[in-house]
Amino acid sequence: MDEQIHDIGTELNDEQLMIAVQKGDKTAYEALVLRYRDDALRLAYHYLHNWEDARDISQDAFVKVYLKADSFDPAQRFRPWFFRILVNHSLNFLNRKKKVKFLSIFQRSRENEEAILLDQLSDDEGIGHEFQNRQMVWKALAALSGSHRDVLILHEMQGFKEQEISEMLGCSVGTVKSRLHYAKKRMRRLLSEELK
Amino acid sequence: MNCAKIQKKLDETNSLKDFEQELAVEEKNHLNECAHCQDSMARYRGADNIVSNMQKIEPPVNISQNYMAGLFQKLENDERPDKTVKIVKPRVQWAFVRTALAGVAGVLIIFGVWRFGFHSGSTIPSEYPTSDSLEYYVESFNEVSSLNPVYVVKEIEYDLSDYERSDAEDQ
Repeated sequence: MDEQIHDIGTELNDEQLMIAVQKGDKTAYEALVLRYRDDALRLAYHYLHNWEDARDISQDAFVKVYLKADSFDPAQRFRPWFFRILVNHSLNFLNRKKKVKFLSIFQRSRENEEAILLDQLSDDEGIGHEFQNRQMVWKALAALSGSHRDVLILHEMQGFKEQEISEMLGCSVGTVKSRLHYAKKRMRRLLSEELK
Repeated sequence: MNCAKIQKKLDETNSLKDFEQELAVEEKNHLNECAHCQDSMARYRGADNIVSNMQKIEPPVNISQNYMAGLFQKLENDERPDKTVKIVKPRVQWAFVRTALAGVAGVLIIFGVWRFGFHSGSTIPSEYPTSDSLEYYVESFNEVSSLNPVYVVKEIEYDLSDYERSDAEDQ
């Protein structure tokens, strides 16, 4: 089974896999999930600042991909389509829990995060430094507007191209570029103030 | 060469690589000599590194380990047809409410017109003189009085001795 998933995952591109999913192929679906699992977790984490929530929300987004597979147009690209679903899920989650303010999320997730980081890293200095940096970025992100924050997370922290972001957010590439320029400037200024 | 010019360029740049390439010779010289500008640039570089390092965050092993099992469990739950109970909220039929209210208002208006007529104020029947009509009568009377002569009966002085005299004659 695993070999089958591996084979289908290496042979087919996203859109071909989605066509197979539309026909009810669960192997193709699993191959898609494996392909985007870590990216999805990371993106959800950038919004939610908590790995457990990121896992739940990214799973919900993958469930939606399966259930709404018929609404996917194979002429479009899968990546922006899927990550738009994920971003919407993450934002809905934040709204639902009334945790739009990033600082409150940060305070809530701090204990969990430190415990997880302790598992990941062996030296204490590394934990402190790593966590301090994330803390600074989250604080700076909280100072940005929603649209600037989205663009910055997707481009700088998730590695999406401007064209993909424009497809995801439903705006022009020019708008993405201008938002990105402003957000980067603001972010750099905020972080450099913290680094003083 | 002043620091503000360098700072402005630093603020406006999209990437530090571009910034360094676009510097003029005298700006480069200033940057090499000025500790303040060097510090600013170092902080900006640090900020860029922190942001780009966010890309390298890896999900913890315990989170990605049982990911598929959890996902398929959710999928199974979502596929079950009786999973969700649809709660149908009673919807207010505003169109009906509006029409009904308009109808009631129309009936009230028609009844009011039929019962009281269009005139406002007192509802005392017209055969009884109202305060307005009394004034009218008084005015009319005054007018008529001024046009006709007034006959005043002059006071008559009676001589009582005449009565006494006639009484005596009768006796």
